[in-house]
Amino acid sequence: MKNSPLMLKVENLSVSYDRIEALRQVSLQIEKGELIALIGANGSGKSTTLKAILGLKQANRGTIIFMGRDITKRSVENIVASGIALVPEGRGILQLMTVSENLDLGAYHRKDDISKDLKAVFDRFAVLHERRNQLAGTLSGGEQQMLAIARAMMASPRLLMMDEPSLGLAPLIVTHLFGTIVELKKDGYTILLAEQNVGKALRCADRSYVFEVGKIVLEGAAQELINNEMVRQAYLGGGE
Amino acid sequence: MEIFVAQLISGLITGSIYVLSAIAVTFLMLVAGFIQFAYGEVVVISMYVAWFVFDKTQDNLLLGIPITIGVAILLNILVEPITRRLRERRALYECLILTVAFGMILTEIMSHFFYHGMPIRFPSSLRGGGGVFRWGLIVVSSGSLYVFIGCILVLLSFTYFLYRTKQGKAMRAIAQNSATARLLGIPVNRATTLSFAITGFLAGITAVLFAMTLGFASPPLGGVLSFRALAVMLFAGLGNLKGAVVCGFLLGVIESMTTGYFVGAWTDAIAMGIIMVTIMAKPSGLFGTQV
Repeated sequence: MKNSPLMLKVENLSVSYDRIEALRQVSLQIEKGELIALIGANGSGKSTTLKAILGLKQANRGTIIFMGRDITKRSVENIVASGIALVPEGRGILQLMTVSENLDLGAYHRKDDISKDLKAVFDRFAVLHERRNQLAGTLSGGEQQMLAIARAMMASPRLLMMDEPSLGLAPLIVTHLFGTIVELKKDGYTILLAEQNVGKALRCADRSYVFEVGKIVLEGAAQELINNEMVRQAYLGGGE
Repeated sequence: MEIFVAQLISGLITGSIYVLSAIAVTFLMLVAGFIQFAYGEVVVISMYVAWFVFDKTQDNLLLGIPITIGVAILLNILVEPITRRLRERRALYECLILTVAFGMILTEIMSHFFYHGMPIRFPSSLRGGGGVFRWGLIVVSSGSLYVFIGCILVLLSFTYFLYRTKQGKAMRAIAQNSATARLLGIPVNRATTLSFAITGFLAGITAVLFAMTLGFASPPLGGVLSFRALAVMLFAGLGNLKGAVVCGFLLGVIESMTTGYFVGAWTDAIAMGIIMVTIMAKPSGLFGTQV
């Protein structure tokens, strides 16, 4: 067991869907408390990386080390229980279950008392408390995104992963969303964020990795990448 | 008037069996994604095993009932590996046919290995020992009453399980979106196998209650029950648990009313006819399909 704050270390990860290589020798790492942004176009491999870390996709080659332990071949249940939670693309809300039930299920793998965490989540997201007995499907897009994040928080994760949380949300809601993400970072969460909204992602992240066609083509401090010429041209509309 | 009440009560009793069967098959369909068409055969062969135990142990209920339930659980769990590869490929019609085949095998086993395939009778102690309850001119055997109460108790427990326990919620999550359930850390494969066991448990209870109300069993009964269960499910709307409860009792009452008021064997024609017309008018069933 390492004592360093290195929470996650991915080395030379390769993942394929049938014959198509979605990830090619991807390496990245996250330290405790960091907010890391994975940015890149649609289909560049950001989502696949998150899924591979959670065990939803099997890796062909490479290793994933979480808190000093090799989780590359572990089952999803096992990995979730070790402390990784994913807010999936499209939110993955169980529409026909209530807000409360969705939150309960976020804590499925936990054996301890979850009432404190439930209260904390309701304090942070007042609208969820208001709508706790409503069917999750009746919530607006932004509210569902809050629910998805709250549900992941109910797992009491050490590493919180989010897959394109701003997708499909109105600009005002997106601003609110990133406000929440920044708050979570301030509260000590370690966050791995895959995002297409590059501007907002880089503005709140510590470091970032840029994906192109399944490979990492650029990495570094978020502040530097914002000013990077290639990044500006490709993702920030050239003249931001 | 007495006929009406008597038939109503009788219909609710038979309906209890239909309700339990429809709930069990619907539950398994929601979680595992296919229709277990041999449910009735599993129930009846468990009844046969119960009869066998009673025969050999001088009607030992304490031994017979758990064994019935155990056999039902084992048989239904067997369906899991049998259908696994088809389920992985989402070949749901093929799964249905496969379970029909399984049901046929069970029926043949009953025909040959138990009492030469002749109808079997159950001890009167199982049927409440002949005791009766009377309200005015209405007479109900205590066995029948236990069946109805038993059914209600099972429904209440099952509802509690599905809506108030972690495991039950997990199963509902799998039924709605197994991919989401998976990423929440719910062990989908293990939970699906557990759902086979739960359905088997319900089949065992159904077998005990069926033995209590009917008092006898014969090999073809399995197929009849399977078909009735599916008819109730279609009547209510595939996947609709609450609808299945209402329609199960409804079918029982329709059948008994037909028996009570129409001379001749019109029960099947009228009952199935009503269901057929309902589905033609409203294909999603009386209450609508769900999930």
